[in-house]
Amino acid sequence: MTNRVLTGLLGLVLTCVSFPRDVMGQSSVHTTIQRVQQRMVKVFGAGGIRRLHSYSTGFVVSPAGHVATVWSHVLDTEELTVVLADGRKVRAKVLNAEPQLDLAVLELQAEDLDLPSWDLEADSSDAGPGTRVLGFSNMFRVATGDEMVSVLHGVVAAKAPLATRRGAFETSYEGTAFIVDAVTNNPGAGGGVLTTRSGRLLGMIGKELRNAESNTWVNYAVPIAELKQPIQQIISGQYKARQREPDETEAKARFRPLEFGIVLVPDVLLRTPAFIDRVQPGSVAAKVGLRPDDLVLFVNGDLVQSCRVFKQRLGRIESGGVLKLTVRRGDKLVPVELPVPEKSATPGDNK
Amino acid sequence: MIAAKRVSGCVVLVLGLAMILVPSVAVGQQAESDLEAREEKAFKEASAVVAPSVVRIQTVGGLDRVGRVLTGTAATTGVVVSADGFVISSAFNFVSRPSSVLVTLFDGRRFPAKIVANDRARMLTLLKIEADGLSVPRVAARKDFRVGQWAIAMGRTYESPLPSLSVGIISALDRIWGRALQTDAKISPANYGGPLVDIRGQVIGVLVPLSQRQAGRTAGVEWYDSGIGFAIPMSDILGTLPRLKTGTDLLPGLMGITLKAGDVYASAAIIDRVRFNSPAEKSGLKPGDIIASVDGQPIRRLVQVRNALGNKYAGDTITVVVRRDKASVEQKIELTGKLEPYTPTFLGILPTRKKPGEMANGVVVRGILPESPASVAMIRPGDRVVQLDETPVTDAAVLFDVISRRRVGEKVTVHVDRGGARQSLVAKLAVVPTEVPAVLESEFITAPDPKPADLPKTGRFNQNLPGHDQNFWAYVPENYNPARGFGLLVWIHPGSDTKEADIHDLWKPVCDERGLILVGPRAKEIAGWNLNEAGFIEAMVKHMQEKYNIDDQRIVLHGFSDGCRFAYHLAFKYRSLFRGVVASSEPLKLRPPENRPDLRLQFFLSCGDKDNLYRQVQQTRSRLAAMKFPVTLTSVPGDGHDYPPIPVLDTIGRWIEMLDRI
Amino acid sequence: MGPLCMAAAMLLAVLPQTGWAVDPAVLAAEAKRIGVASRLAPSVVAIFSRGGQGGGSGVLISPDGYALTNFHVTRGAGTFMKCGLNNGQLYDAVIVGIDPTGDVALVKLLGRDDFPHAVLGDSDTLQVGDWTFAMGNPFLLATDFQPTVTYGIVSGVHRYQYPAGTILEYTDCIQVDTSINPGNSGGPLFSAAGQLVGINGRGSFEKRGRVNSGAGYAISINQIKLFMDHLRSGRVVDHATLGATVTTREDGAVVVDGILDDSEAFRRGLREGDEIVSFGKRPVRSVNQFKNILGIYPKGWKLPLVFRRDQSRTETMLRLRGLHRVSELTGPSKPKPGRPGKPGQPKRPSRSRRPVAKPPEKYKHLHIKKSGFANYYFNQQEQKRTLAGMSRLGDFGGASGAWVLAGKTAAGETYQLTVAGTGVGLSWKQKAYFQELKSADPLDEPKGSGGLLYAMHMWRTFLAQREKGFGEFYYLGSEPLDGVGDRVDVVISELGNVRCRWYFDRKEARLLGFDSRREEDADECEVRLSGDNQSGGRHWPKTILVRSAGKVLASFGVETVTIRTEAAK
Repeated sequence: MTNRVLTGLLGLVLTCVSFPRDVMGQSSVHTTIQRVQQRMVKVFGAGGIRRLHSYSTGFVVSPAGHVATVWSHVLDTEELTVVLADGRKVRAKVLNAEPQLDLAVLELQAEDLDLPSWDLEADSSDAGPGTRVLGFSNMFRVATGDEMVSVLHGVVAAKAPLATRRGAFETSYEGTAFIVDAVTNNPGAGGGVLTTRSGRLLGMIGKELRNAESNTWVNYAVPIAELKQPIQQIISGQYKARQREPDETEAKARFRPLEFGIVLVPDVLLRTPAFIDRVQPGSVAAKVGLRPDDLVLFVNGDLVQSCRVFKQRLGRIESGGVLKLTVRRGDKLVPVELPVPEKSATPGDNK
Repeated sequence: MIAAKRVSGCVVLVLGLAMILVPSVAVGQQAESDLEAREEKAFKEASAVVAPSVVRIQTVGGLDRVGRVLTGTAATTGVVVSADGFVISSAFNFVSRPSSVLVTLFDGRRFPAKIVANDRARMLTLLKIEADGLSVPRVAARKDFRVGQWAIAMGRTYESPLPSLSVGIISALDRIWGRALQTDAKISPANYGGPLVDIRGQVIGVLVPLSQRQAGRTAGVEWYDSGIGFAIPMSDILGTLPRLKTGTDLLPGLMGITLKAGDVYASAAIIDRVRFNSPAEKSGLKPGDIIASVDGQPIRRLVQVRNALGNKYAGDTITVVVRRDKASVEQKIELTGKLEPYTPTFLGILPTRKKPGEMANGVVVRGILPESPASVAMIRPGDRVVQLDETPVTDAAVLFDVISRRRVGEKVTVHVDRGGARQSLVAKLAVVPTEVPAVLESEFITAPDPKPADLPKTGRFNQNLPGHDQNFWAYVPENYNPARGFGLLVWIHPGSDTKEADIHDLWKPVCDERGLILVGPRAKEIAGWNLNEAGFIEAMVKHMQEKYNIDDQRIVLHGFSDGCRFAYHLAFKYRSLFRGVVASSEPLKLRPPENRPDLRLQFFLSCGDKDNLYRQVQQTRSRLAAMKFPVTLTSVPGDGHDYPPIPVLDTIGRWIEMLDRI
Repeated sequence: MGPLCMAAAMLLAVLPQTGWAVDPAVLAAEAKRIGVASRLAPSVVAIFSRGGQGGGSGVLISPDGYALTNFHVTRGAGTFMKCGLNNGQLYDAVIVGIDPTGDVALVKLLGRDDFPHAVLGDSDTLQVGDWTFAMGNPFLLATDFQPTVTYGIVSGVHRYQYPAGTILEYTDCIQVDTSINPGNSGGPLFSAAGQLVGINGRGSFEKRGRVNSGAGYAISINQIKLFMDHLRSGRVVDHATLGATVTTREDGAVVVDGILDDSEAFRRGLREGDEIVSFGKRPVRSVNQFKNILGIYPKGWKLPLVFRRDQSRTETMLRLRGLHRVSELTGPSKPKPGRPGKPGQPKRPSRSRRPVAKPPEKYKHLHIKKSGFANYYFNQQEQKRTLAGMSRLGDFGGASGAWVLAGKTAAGETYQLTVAGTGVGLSWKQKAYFQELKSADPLDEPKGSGGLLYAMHMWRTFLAQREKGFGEFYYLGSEPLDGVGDRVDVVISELGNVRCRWYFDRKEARLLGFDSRREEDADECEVRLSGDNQSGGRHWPKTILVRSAGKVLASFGVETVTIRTEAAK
């Protein structure tokens, strides 16, 4: 069995483990909805100009009045207001935020609230494709005062990284997300929650994002498993914002195809395929039997869709390691391994 | 082997779990949520059954933009249709014409794939990989489809070992002229090409974007995730599979007729035109025939004709029954995939332009074009054309319509009134000439005297458009006279340079001489035009038509360099609005549309012969000519990528002057 | 271990020859839904305008062809339109009544008296999370008239959606995630059980242009029920206002922040700063809720209002006033460009400039133009129905002399009421009241009666001359008598400034009484007639109850009725 199948199996595991739990939670959807809605709040803050909405959603994570929500421009104000499920208006301030998770935790400026709130340990769950879900948010600011936030139904479409390419999205969140088949990510929906039909918390609805790979809006939620710890730490005041790891392309040596004896075809289009034009005699490329007209498809397992991407990937490989290439030769896929020469890191070297 | 053992061992366990699920709980809400849990389990099982037949498709190379649609680079989806390596997918997934296609199976094995053939009616693409023993899904029979049944859409876009799911119901059958069924599951590039599966784990169909108003691989994409999605029934696909496997594309079947416009849901299907050399013509269909049935399906309204033809391919033979003066005529017609383009016909007269409210009785000849059929036939300026063959001619529109229904090389008898005497002259219709005469009189226009108080603005001015956050500048000759129809020249500026001052100074004399109004819309972003600004241009033209007396035969788009791209887009989008395109120093990137007899469109290209784009512009000329559009190319010796010099502008002036030639 | 096996087992299920079978309960539920969908589809209407270039959806609600749709769908379609049903047939339809504010229109499909039709449900029983079907013709896909069926849940109830550029306002509406797209407009929202609970009309489209983005809105069927007879009247129907505006106080209470001093609410004592406790028997906790309650009632209905000032709590019954001027309702209703961020109506935009088709010959008699009416023809029909019972009362036209009614009030005082062509007189409690008719304006005689004497003149005019006696005369619709009783048919008469509302029992078309208003914004004289008192071949009431401004003036028992010729007077 290949690794892929194993991962496949693990994927299936997810699908299943979450499943019996939901069955045991025999509560009706209506009671689920009422229960969840009591734990949702409407957040009003900055924005309003140039179609930037000035509202979003949040969910109560402590009876004392801590609210988890999405980190966005809405919070960028002194005048932050939270409207509770029962219609009460309460002032709030940002306690702390984790931009890499698009997460912020608010503190309500009111005494002894004792709100119905989520128990991030007991109420959380996990799910895989096909699991029925509900999305709760104040999308489009439909609800005001004590009106309940909107509820959408759907299933988990996939649990996967938002995109395989860097910069596919304008979001700092790079982990796996619940992608759903309901249109959850609308204006103001950020900070809403995704739950199972029995009301178990799965994730926090994220910002509106357009998938740069398919140019479509995606509907997703950041798994609560990712958020649980930071939220609890922020509340207890022990949280330290994560260090963004430096862009690896800086740290690593920059390699160019020529250094392996590979000459690519002229890169004329935006997506010129990475066809090998010439192989320098005696080069490592020649030794492993690469030939002209071979099409480079994978670098260390990642698909390269053009000369440009191929060069970028080479720019990122570790020096002294092994470069795994898969080329298409006629109707065959041919894997080859090339030794990567030792080379000291030379940031900003553009030769 | 070990795996197999483990598997067999587990069946029991599964059954065990099933037991846990089954116990009958209290009725009401409990039962309801129990049912929903059971349904959830059923979704997962049905999709798991099909999963091994759902493959991941990745492409390499190709275009990054097709028309308005930015083509994605994300992985897409396909469905195995034969154990020996045939995979069906949505044509949308290959719109970028990739140079290499890869297929990844459920178990992770990866194969290079060949594109075998396309179904251009149902927008499908057949792939072949060199593999065997693939898992072919069970197929649901078309007769079992029911509106309201579960429909599960599966895709392979995401970096996940499992296919993605979206759950909905079948919303309707026989959509898009009977080609597809409709679902409210969320359909998007994330699952185009993937299967739509029923609750029993059988494939209902293959997901594709479709639209009943446009054709093309990207049509219908704008509806992604809207709850309006389409799937081509798998049982239909299996029917055409043998033809696709031979490697020949399947094209929508064409008859070669156009129907009289009317209420598409109420009016009868009356044939208006029959295309030359088309199957319809060969089988003897005639204008005026009323289509009574197609393949036995009765036709009572326009829309039913398309519904009846939607599922027919080129090469299919259909039986059409038409009513012709009370008799009913039955014809067998073999449909074609490609029609000979319509060739515009040409008599060679310039009609006198009608003044507003003027009662027209015939067409007074304003001028005769040199070496034209009209001049050979000795028709003279001042003659009043009153009849063509049997058809009485009331005005230029009628004359143009009659001529457009005849063919190049045909003889027509033109009945003219010359100084009270009736004369009948015979002319042999020709093709529309491409050269522009060196001299061409323009009608002499003077400003109204005295100027009426309500005379609209003249000279150069800026104008805002109500309801739009964009504006334009205009130049209206001082001699503007509402009693005369003026031409409208729409200047589409290139990116990052509106050239307003130059364009105004260069064109002012031409406009004054030729009775042209010049308008210069300004792009939202100076960097260049966005396709969604088309609506603003249309609104601007309509605004000018309301304010001024615009001759609708002489509304022309003019672009230079990359401005032409937008100009071409506008010309093809608003066929009924624009009559000409003047494109300087820029080739045509879009596919030219069909040449329509009723909505004529003429082109004037210019380019410096030292311009890098010169060859491409020449190719543009031949592409347009191949579609039988009247197209003129003027090359400017020694010029590079420059705006055309004054002599060329004078030529353009004369070209616009004769746009209403018949 | 367990999970791993489970996973492997699911892989196993992949092999065709496993004994895997679908849970019968799931199949049964699916079959049930398929059945409901196919049962409902025949009642769904595809409405076409501009030669099929534009259009929307609708739903049949009666066998004789009455169908509901959106006003913004019919606006583009003209007075006659073509409608397709899923039997593949195309029917002509004519406009009946419109509610431009509520975005509802009633049309009538023609040519059958056995149309399949939907059953009206109770939208107030809908809960968030309930499954619903939406049916209609999104993007005009139904070239074969088969509706598009989408299935989703209720996302919110009692929603309020601001006017989007036009006067269209969605109050107390139903929010669904069931896919609603352009062209769904006017189509039905059904409950899972297949009852009609709403008319889909709108969506939050700002995100992706004219494509569903997860939020659709339906006008609740319960609101439409309140307007149904008004719509059948063929009129341009108006919504209501209280004559007061409200705002939310810091503590969340809803208080009056502006009030017209000529409004009935003002006359009943409502003032700025008063707290609205409940309205229409529903508690008010937000401005949206107040608008929601107001929005579902037609102009002219009476609603109970409870308001609080300091500790005092006042409960009163108010007649709602009109929200718009007729010109606003009937004028060029071109939508202004909707403010960004505001929802738009999902109507198929039409490219063609094709003129509206002219009426089919055989049906053109079914449309009569009259200002203030969408189609006066249907008002005539309703007048006929409502006044059918009047002839049974006898020929009052013949009673040309003075009518003298005498007897005792409930309080035991004797009275004599003389209603003559020249004037009306009343002697009661040693006082004499007189209303001169030839020259004098309508008086409030006796004081505080709201003009009883003139009201008696109106009564006589109505009995003797019917519509001929008045300037304006039309069928209004129906409403609960005095805001609390059974629904009664209402006919309006106008003579000079005097406006009367005539109430008829809906079963026997019996005249129950009337309200007479001397002038704009004056309190009405409410007259209620009961009992049957035969005299001279005519049916007179046994008692005449007179009220005004919520106070009872007297209940006059009619013992004798004599007709004196004018001369003898």
